Amino acid sequence: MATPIVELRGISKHFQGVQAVNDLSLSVEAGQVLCLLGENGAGKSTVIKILTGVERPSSGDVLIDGEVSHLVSPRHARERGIATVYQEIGTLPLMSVARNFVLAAEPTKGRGPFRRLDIEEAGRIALAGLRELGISRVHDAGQLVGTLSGGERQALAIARALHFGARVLVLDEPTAALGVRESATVLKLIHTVRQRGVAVVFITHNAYHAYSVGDHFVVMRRGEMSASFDKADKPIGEVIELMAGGAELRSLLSAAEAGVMGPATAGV
Amino acid sequence: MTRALRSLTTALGALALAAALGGLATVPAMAQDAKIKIAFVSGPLYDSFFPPLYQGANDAAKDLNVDLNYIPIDEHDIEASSARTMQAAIAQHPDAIVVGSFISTVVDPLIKQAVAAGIPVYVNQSGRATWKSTGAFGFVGQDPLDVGIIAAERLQGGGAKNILCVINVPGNPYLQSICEALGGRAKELGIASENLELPTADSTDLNKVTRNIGAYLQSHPTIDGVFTENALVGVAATAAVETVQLTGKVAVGTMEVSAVALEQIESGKMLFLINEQPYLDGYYGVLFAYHYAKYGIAPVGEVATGPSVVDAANIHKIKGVFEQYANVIGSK
Amino acid sequence: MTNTQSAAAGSSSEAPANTKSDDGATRRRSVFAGLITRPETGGILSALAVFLFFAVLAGKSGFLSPLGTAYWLDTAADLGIMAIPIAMLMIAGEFDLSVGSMVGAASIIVGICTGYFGLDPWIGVGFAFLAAVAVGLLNGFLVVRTKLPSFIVTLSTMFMVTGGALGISIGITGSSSISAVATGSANFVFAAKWYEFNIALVHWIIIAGVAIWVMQRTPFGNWIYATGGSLDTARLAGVPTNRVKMILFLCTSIGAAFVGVMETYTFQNASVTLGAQYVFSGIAACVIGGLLLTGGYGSLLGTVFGAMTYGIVSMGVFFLGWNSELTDLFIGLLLLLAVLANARLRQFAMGR
Repeated sequence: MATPIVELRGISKHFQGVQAVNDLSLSVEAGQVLCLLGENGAGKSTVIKILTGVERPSSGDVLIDGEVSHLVSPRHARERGIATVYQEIGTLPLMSVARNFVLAAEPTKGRGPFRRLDIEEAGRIALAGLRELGISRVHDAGQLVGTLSGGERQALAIARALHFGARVLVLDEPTAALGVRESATVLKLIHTVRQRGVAVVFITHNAYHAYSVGDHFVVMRRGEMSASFDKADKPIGEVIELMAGGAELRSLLSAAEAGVMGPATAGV
Repeated sequence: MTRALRSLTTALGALALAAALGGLATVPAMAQDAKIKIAFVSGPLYDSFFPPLYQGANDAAKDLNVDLNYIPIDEHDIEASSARTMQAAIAQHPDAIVVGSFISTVVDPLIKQAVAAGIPVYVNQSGRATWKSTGAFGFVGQDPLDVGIIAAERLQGGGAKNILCVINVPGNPYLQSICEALGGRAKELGIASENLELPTADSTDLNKVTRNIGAYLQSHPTIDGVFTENALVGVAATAAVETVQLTGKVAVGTMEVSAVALEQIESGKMLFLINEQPYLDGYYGVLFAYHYAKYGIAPVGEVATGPSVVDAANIHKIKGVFEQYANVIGSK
Repeated sequence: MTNTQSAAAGSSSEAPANTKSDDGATRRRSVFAGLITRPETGGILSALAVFLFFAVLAGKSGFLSPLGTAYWLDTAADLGIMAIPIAMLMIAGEFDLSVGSMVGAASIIVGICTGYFGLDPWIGVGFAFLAAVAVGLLNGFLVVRTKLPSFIVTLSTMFMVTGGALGISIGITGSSSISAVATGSANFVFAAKWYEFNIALVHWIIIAGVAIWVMQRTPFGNWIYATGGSLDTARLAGVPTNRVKMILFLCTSIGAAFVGVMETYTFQNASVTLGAQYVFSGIAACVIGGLLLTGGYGSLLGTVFGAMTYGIVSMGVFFLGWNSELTDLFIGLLLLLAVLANARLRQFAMGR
């Protein structure tokens, strides 16, 4: 087994008396897609924040390439190759593709007071990055990002992250606001980057999307891991049921059918 | 307690009582010597007309040992502020109120209120038309109509046949009435006149005002006389006349005193300026209110503190006084 | 979810009616569409339109004469200089309502030093700029630290600066309006004139040129657009948004001081109330020039033409002899039209 690019070992995190994450371990290898599943409040966001340097764990270790690392900030995590691609705030619709792509790392030419933005180079880099992800319909790096489709915008964000050396991409609900066609584009992108040897941590509510790209699944519940399996281990139906709550949901439904209302107390 | 101590305590108590009674007895006497409190509601100091008025009021307060509270009205919100300031003055329960009634519809009812509450009110500088009906005991200031009349006469005397009256605070009734009076007198004299209202946005930008007047002069070539309602606009007008190359062909007169305006009269660029003598408004306002509060006597009716005219004839004397005493003739 | 509003009216010559292909992908735009969708187009068209309007109606009354031209150019230059930093700050998503009061404060500082105390005219200039740096730092610090809307923060600094300037003026000189005559090099730099063309025009060209270069051609300019486009995205991308805002608040205050000094030495009179109108006319120039009020979009070249538009209108009306209410109405209508037109053009730029 290859060394995982990134690994969380025994991670716990509490905030002012609330245990958000408890003794969670997971790992992702190069070219692998890890789907992080679970309901709202299960602790997924906290795990992501620890993974990407936004928060520090209360206990446990974060390992990068097998070595214990202390990520002090998102910028630090980015430098180590862990990049997040956000749902809504990934890109700037009123800016051109080229400028968006090189934001905060703009290529320049010239020296001294005449040092200026190399907009042609930025355009070249942007279009090349998009092409590598299979987006071939964008020809003009000067067009506004707002004219791109949702899928193309995600591609832009991902291409930018990859260009700046991301080896792990964390995608937080990338398909949540997209229609069927656009979601397909994003899932194709995930396939593409996986083939390039990038590791992906994919957070989603949508079991079908998860199942179509995931290699390994981790289901969280109330801050703990409640299931961890590879795609080969379970059929899609069971995965969906697990995501939807599994046994607890079944017992709730049957109790409702039997006409008994009230909180389900059976520990699941 | 021992008998000695008890006697001592009694003696001390009697002494204290005597002192208290004695103190009480002197209180009316002290009240008689207490300073007269006067609340003076008038214009803000950022309007260059009012610093001399303020100076006059302060000089009188010092000379007469009056406790003066000057409450400035905010010109940017003149109606609401006129009401607020009067209310503040009434709330202080002074011995007398002196008020510049810029917006008489707002201020007159409040004057009545003050009078009804037993506070004598003296109307100052603005409000000449309606003060009598408010119960105020007098008016000191000038008739704005006189300013307009004199301006028309002076400009006509300077050869003008078409006078431009520049209003720099659009919608201000005082300034409006001056231009109306000028128009009326011009008609009587058989010459023409028109008004130019400057937009509010330009009122603080004198370079723009110069350009505005210049543009108007260039596009209305029959104008040969300009009257402005403050010294800065007057200087802007003379600059505009120069720019449009009409020096000598267009006569300029203004209201209000300033160093530059006086210089321009001396050099002949400006024909005359009309001084409302706001220093006297301030001084006499306090003086007459003081006399009324203390003795119950005051001049009857209206006392005119102006307008006086500064022109080539008296410029030297006026300029001398202007340079020697600050804020008497006008603000420096 | 992706491409925004419905198709704009005047379509380009070759773009097909059906806008989205199967993947919602984009299409090549014609050269014409490319030109129309440039952010400065609205501003240029506005300036042209009002110029033609007054040229036709007031050309014979002097609008087209050398004096008339100098007049509106001078007006545009004064406003234009102030509008540039206002525009840059607006693109970054913030407002500075204290610029008007800063102009007055700088004016009165110069008046006190040069007019009242008779010092070398550059000393007053120095103090005015020091005061501007202080106010700019205060604005920037408050906005960045408290995360309150800059609208509120700068509104309060506006009152503080006005009150402070008035207090100092009355306290030292007893007046709020002071004569101030510059001599020598200071007079040249701030008040020189050729015929009736003010040196302000030269300053405007230089400042606009530098600013346009910064916005379009430097990484810092890119950061300004990003900060205004989406603060969170910019920050996550690594843009030092706090530093960007601090620098821009310094620019607006210093710009205001520069305009204050210039106008004071030109008319040779200092006044606390100088420049009060720039808060409104500055924003108007930006909006006419195609800037988005919420930030992240627009070109400074548009702002240049926006200032020109305002200059033409506010001078042209005097050649027509209109009274002031009509002037205000005209400017208000113009602003509304400009906003609508620019919104339309922006929709077009977003691909209908």
